[in-house]
Amino acid sequence: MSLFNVFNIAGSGMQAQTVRMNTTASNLANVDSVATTPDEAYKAKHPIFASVLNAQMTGGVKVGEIYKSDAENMMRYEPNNPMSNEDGYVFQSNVNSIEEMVNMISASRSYQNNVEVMNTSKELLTKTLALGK
Amino acid sequence: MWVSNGGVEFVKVILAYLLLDSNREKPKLVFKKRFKRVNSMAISFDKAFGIQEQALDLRSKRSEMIASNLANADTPNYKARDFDFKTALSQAQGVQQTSTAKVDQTNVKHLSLDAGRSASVYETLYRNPISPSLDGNTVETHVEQANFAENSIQYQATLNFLSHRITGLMSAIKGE
Repeated sequence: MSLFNVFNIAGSGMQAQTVRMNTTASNLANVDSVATTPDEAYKAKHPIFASVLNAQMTGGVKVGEIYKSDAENMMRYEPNNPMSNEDGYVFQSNVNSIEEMVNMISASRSYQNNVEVMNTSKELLTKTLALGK
Repeated sequence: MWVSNGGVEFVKVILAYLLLDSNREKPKLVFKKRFKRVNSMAISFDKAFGIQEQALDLRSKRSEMIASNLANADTPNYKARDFDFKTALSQAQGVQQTSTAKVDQTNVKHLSLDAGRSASVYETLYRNPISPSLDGNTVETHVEQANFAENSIQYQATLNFLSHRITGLMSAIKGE
């Protein structure tokens, strides 16, 4: 029954969007983290999705990898901060909070889409099981 | 008079018939003959559901395909897929009608070749996006949602047709 596969497909979509939501939460939580060197500073993390296809050209989605953003870590002059370097600068995280908010909304909508697909399939399967009663 | 005694008369006739049968050498043959006649009745459960069986199968396949599109709405370079339902259904019918291979059914309990044959012959097509995105993804969520909803409604329509066929068969069997 193909409809049972829909649960796996929509489930994989929900799983992938959850990972995306997790990275967004992590990025937003660390938006004000500071470090002494640019290497130690927090880098925004983003997942890359990849499709998992079977022979019938249908299938779910998986998180291929989670990459760290290459964006520059901005310096801030805070000589009284114990984390500052010898010149009195600290390195901020390279998280773009606007981008993260957009990502969060997109992930949330995609998740809802998958939930909707799952609910509809469940309804159809229940009706199929009740056939002839 | 005869009507009120009808039941008793009927039992008598049956008893006489059975006695006659038991006097024969091979009483089982009679039973076999009767069984065969019942088997070739007008109601064929294989043909009762007609095209709806394949339609239901294809509808569920299509819902799987669209669910796959929706799950991959954010996957770079994913191309949205679908198939033409009309073509797929006529192909599925063609497969069933042109199956020329024959297997002898030496026992009534043997299944025919067509039993359980699923309609899985269809050509996967790629959707033409109205506004393709830069990452090479051609899934347009609203289009997929609309298609999924349409497919679900059609699935339920097919279910309704099937359910009516079953109701018809049941009333034919019960004779009410």
